[in-house]
Amino acid sequence: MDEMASKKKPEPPPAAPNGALLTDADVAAAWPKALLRWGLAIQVDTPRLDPKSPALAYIDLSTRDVVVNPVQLQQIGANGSIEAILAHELGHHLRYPHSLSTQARLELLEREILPIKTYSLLNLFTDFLINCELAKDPAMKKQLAAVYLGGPATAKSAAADPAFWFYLMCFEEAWGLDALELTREAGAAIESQFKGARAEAQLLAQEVPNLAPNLFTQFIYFASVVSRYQVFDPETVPGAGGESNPTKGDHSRPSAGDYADALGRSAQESDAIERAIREGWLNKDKVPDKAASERARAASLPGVLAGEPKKLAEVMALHYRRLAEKYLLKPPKKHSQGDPIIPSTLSPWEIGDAPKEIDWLASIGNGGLDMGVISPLKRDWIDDDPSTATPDWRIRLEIYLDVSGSMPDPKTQVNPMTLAAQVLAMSALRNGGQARALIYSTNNVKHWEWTRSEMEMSRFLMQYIGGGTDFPFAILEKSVKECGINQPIRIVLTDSDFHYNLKAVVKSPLPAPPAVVAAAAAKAPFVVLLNNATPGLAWVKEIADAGATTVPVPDLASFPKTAAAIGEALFGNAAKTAATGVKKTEGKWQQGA
Amino acid sequence: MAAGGVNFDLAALTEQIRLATMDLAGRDPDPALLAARLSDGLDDAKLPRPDVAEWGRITKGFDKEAWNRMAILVRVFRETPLRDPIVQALAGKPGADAFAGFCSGLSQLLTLELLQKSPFRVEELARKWAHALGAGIAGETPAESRRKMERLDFGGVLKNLQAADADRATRVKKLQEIEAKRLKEQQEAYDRAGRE
Repeated sequence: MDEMASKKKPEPPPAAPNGALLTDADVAAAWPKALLRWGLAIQVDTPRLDPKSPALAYIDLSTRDVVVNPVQLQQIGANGSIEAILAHELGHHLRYPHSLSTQARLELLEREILPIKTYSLLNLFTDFLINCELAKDPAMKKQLAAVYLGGPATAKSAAADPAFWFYLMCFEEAWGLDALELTREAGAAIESQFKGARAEAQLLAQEVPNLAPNLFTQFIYFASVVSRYQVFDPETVPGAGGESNPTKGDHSRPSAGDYADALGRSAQESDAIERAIREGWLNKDKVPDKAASERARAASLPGVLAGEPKKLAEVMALHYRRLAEKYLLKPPKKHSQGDPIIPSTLSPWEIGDAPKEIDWLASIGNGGLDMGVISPLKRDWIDDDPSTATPDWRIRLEIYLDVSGSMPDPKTQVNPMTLAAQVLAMSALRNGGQARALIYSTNNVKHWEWTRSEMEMSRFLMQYIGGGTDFPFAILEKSVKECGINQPIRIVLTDSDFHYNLKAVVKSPLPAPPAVVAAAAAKAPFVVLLNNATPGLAWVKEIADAGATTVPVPDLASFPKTAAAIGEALFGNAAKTAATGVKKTEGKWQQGA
Repeated sequence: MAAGGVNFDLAALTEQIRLATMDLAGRDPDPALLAARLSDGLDDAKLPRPDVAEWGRITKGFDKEAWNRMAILVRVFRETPLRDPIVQALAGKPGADAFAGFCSGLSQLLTLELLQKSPFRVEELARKWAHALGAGIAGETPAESRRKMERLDFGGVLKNLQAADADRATRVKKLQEIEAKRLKEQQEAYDRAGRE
């Protein structure tokens, strides 16, 4: 250890007296030095000062913008540490976690392996790695130490956040400082309360760097040691529950896409978990296997994204689309076609589509001057010589999805029925069709505009009601009337509650449910997927007697696969190459002429 | 200042030990060669070499790791600028004890693998060997050096880790009890609400 050499080097002067706030000039002077600490010449904007920033310092890992709160810095008496603080923030970008996708994986891995979900060790982990690298330079070590010496270090502090004070003990060991030099009274309290804490700190400081380059291995080891110091009954400890780390919350969070990608374990994570089990850092019985991991990670998202419901819905929507992909058959290559010069139907124009596709006349004609401009429509074009490669019928799918209390919330765990709906929608959309959907429980919510967008459909299907079950026969009746000769294929995903709804006595002028079903089934396929059902059941037969095409599904897990088969049968190439499409023969819907 | 006036530059000593451990990677130590090299080094320094019988007695129980440690110390003694302070520290002391006795005694937990991966263990070896030679560490009082050596003592670390592991097991059990209680309360709340 080179602490002896470090004590002989001259101390760098502070950037500004601790009584004054840091200025832009101070930051501008420190910034190039901070960049050079990592030995890289990268182009990043000079950080800005913001006295209202919630964090002492913060880096946006997407834009690489860095913000420093000069008031907080001055309060802990660490103006002289500005270079180290800036270098630390750069360390999050250049090293740990380096990317937001890695951060998302670490967050979900942490949820899988740690029993205490209310206190994350991730910030301490990445800070530890960054600061150990920076502290190889004695000047940086001194500046970083000054940051940690700025706050109180009492026995009460230790009781409120023992994990943080143990983490500082690890720096005392790693940096060759005297015992309690950083941790002071709080460190003494930790040593008293937790037997062998000093030894654990030394071992952690020794082992973590050696476990590189697999960051997940390093994290699991770190967490296996530091988790001992987490408070697991914060309600009994005054002031517990918060994080004492002065550099907490100092970088941005992953995007919905990052979390969706992280739902499946990577090879590196799997290797890290296997090694952790071999080494005894993890108990095999407490860690889900790879198959269960995805479910466990999806279930942990509400906790990870607490306070961010929109992001949670977006993550799950992405996840469902990716799950649905596995069930969809790949369509064969298209036959050769003529030029697409015949104008066809209109569909909503979305960001990412070519602007020249907008049909302004139709947009304004349909939506008026205001809505037509805000939500323009694009014209679809078909081949001038359609031939047999182009279907003579347009796929339109209308989904009715039961989201009553008997079904799980699709945002908190993968709901196979919602996934089945996703599969059906994607099957229709990918075969050139349109879809719309309605979710129902005691009431209902509709996405009733025809769409070709998988993203719109998947976002909509993430909604949940969770009440009783009341199928909206009035809406079905209205749909049948409004669709005229262009009836969509209608698919209901539900369970035996549909039978209960079908048999309910309704008051005039509401239509009798069996009559509504019969009318719908007479015009187009009306398919009902029924959970926990077999063909011989009396209630299944009664639904079929009303005119519906019943598809008994043995259990919830079988829904996606069943939906994939139905989607392929109804919308896939077998359906497309049929001469005239579907029609009803002898009471049954059939393909062919 | 240590008795005899020798104080090692800790940074220099740890660096030479570290380089020696890297040099040994993938090679098995040769006991006969090591004995010859050490004897030659002591002869060159006009220090008494251990007699054959004594050498045989001290190294009788040596395992591979002890010979690895011997190889490190002999290399530092014979091939680095630290030869002179080592010779000075050895004056009046039996060479066998400072090398062979040390390798099977104070340093017995320090395997080559540990030394190769941990700067802590390299410093531990450096401090313990300096102590075995009766030398001090430059810039430290004897009390400071002793305190730091004790803090680094891997045997002590391992012993304390056992206490930590026992405490961890107790905390895990308590945590499981708390989690079971929370789940039970949650289930009872669901039942009261009439849900299944």
